[in-house]
Amino acid sequence: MSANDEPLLSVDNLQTSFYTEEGEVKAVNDVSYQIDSGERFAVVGESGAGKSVTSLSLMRLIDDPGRIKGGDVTFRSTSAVATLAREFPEGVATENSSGYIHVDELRAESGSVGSDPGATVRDQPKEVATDLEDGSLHVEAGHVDVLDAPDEAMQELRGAEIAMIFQDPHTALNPVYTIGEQIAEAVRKHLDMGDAAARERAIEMLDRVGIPDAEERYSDYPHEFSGGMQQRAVIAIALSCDPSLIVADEPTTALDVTIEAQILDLLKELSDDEDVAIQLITHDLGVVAELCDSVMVMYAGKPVERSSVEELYYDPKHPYTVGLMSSIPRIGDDRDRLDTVPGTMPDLVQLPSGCSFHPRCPYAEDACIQHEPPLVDTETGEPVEEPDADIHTAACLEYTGDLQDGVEFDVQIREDAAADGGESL
Amino acid sequence: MSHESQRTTTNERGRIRVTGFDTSVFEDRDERFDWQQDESTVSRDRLTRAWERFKRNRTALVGLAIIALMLFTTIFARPIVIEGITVQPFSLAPFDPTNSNFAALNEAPTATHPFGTDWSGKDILSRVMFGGRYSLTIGVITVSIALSVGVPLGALAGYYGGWIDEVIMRLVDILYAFPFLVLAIALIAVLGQGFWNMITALVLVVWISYARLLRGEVLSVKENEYVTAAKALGARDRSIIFRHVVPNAMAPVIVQATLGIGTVVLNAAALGFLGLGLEPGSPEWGSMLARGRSSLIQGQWWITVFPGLAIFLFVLSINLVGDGVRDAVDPQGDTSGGAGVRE
Amino acid sequence: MSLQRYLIKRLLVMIPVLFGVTLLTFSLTKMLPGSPVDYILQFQETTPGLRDQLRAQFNLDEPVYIQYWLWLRDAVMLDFGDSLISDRSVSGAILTRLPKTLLLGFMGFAIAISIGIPLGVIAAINNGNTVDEASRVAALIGIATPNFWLGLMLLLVFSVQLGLFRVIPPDKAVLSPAMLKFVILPAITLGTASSALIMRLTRSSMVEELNKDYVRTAKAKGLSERTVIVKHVLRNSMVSVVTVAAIQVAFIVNGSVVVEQVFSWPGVGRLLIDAITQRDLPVLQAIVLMIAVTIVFVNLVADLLYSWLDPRIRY
Repeated sequence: MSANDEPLLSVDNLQTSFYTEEGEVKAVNDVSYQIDSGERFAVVGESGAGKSVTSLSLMRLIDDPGRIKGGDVTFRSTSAVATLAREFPEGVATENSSGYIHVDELRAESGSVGSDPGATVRDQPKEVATDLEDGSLHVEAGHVDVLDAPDEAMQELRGAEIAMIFQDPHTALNPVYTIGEQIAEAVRKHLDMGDAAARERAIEMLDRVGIPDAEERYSDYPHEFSGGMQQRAVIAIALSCDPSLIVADEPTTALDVTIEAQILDLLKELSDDEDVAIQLITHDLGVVAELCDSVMVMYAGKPVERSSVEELYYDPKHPYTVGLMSSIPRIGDDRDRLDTVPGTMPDLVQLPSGCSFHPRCPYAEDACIQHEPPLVDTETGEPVEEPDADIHTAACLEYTGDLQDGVEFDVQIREDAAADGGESL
Repeated sequence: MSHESQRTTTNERGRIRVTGFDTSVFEDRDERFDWQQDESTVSRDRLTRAWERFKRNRTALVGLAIIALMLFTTIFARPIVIEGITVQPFSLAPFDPTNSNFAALNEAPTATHPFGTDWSGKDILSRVMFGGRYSLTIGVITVSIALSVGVPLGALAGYYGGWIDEVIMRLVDILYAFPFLVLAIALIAVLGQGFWNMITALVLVVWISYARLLRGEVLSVKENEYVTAAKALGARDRSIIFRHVVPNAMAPVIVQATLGIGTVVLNAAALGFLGLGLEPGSPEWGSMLARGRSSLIQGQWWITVFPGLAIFLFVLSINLVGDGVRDAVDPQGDTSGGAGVRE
Repeated sequence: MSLQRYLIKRLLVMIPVLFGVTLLTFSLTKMLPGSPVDYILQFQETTPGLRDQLRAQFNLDEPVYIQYWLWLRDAVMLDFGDSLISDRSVSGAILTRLPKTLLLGFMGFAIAISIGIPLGVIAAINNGNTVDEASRVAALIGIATPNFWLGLMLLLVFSVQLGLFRVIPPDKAVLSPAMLKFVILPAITLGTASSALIMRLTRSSMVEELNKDYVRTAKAKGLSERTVIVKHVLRNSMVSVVTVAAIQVAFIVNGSVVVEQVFSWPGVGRLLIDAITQRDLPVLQAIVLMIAVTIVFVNLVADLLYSWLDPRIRY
């Protein structure tokens, strides 16, 4: 939970590359976005677009030969700030030293706000840490520079503040430990609970995600669960320590369509009830429509469009997005052929000049080969200050006014479609 | 701050249709919009890639060099005469390995005898150089025969399954219960000593690992869908085995075979040491060590050190090469060869 | 399926193998040149009735399969008759020597595991860098060194030249300090090659596991590097390690035959060599059989360990 109207998570100009024998693979190439508390944000794109790497970068789980090259990731959860300030007072930014933990507002237990509690922190981080520990002080506002945090600090954040769900639950779970134990160990570490309490909590979580007979299932092994149940268990693990953000990397791709619907419903319900923000990574536009509020479309490691979900569907701006949407077949579609986006995404080692999409774009002009389009507000043509998805941005020369012929596509909304008819996308 | 109020999820599916992304444009478009990815500089051919990787592995190359050197030394140590024709006339060894010189018994290393002499005055350097022939030939011959027995049996067991598989695998299990050396010892006791008896004994022990390996490979390939596809297209069993299984299985087999030479040489030397090897007195490295123990206690270290060093160097080099082959062919280590050297 | 049912199933499968093992042992010794009767009669006066009496004693007049059955029946009772050389009972001879071999084997195995597994883990964690490379080379050296040569070298340096150890074992009880001191060098000799193999296998199986998805999940949960490696990865690698450890038992039996020769250690291995050179059939049969049966049981234990370690393997 972040204070006031600041977004929970801000990613600014993130760059992550992999250094392989073929060259530098720019998997995440200047990506910016933000997520508010409780918001459900989607990162969409084809395989290889850099979506998963973006999420792993967030959690600092990038290993050799990859490296986070640059950018800022700012996480404004007050509980995260409080935990880190308590455990790592040396990391708090003070007047005399820089740090990755920024405590901006403190509140004393008595309820009064000191004249400049921030000053207290800046002078005496260790005393503040003790006070936070015994509860006489509370953090009201603050932020963490995730990319500057040391590994031990990241271990406190992972699982407790930001949790992750992966694509294939079968391999994501350790086959030699019971499901219950895999939940309990996270709880024991982050919530400082003893064995019995952790077990209770784990059973509670299993129940919460809709696994029947939670108490017996606690002692079962992953291979004794079906695919859908396994994914629910993974969600239970993610949820167990009350994170404020869950990053879900293609959580339903490996599951049947019917199970997929259940999992999505579960995620929606949990997000609403527990006020957990979700960053969903997917290639499936249907899932996005079902679950999310805002979306960012990625192509070749860069964001090409960012907007709210309604705007994306009713008023897409970037040709790539349009291409993706027109390739979805629908019942009642009377076209003879599907318009798919021809060609494949370039290998991230070698990108086309100018706009990376130009070889596959029907509206490409000479300007597109020469200039790489910046991500701009589609109304004004100017780059935006904050990567807020309420402002519809797209990376196409059309919106900076440099395109001569313009782009032409049409979005029709059929008024006569049945309410629940039609297959899922 | 919750986002509930701003959500207007639509329940109606299929309401939105986008038109205008006109793909026909691509057909007539000017070429400058087409962009081709450069060919990757990394070669695609498996064999070339493997060779490239092998060349980069310095330790493997060192091993190869040492083996080449030993091979050279042992071939040219003494003349080779086949059917009366002198095939190889050179004599790198300074003395005749079988020549006793009772004037120079148990001499420590000197310039004349760089490796010293043994209890009957024979020059140890010459014997070590010459003795390499036994080890090398035993190693190579044993592995070759074991391959030609184990590979077909393993392939048959894997491919046909059923009772053939059961029988062969039970046989393997039974043989596996006897440790390598113990079984070899027992077989030699039955067959008697001598070159071909030793090879027979070793072959009978070694073929098992190749059979198991092949069977495993065949089983995993069998599961592959392309075999089902080939069958559906009417391919005959034999061609399936050859065309699909063999190329895939080649890699771990080559690795095992290379390492196998090392194992065989070690065990042949052990048999020699125990006095169960070739005729006593032959300059086989292991047999040379048999008498070494008593000399050792009297302080004549050279009788033990040099032949043992030769064995060590040879087996080490073979293992380096074998590892190099394994890394070259399969850098991620997913083949089923494993680190196991069945001793 | 529960552990008990799995155990029973494995026991059933083991029976034909045990059968085959006994059959093979029996056939091998049957194929040895010369019969025990001729051997004994070398040293004695041959009186008419003696030959027949001896033949009856060794059941040589019966058809082969009866001989096998009789032999087997006695073997199960651990009655292998008397040694041709020493006139003692075979079982007795073996039993006196067994503790010494067990001590040596056990110490060798202990050394192998306590060096091999930790080094393997360290190498895996340091995958790719110099520590890893160095350990690889060390392992290769360990594997390539002939154990008899290593033993001789150790004898040379530490016993002959430095005088730190005796050259011949003392004639004391197995667990006496003098014996325990002496067994150090042989145990090191025995354990070296084993530890190298165990190290390599631990390393490769850990590296494989480290690339798996559940490791990423564990890290994403915020567990420390150490917890991830020890609690999650190592546990999954254990199956492969148990495999190789089980193989090492056979390896150590092999090794002890040779190592006992080098150090004149009065164990079962030396007895085996003596039995072969002296053509002492009953002893030979007994030892070979005993070794094989032990290995079969060791494999059974290994299988049970697998299914305990990995809950998926209980089909």
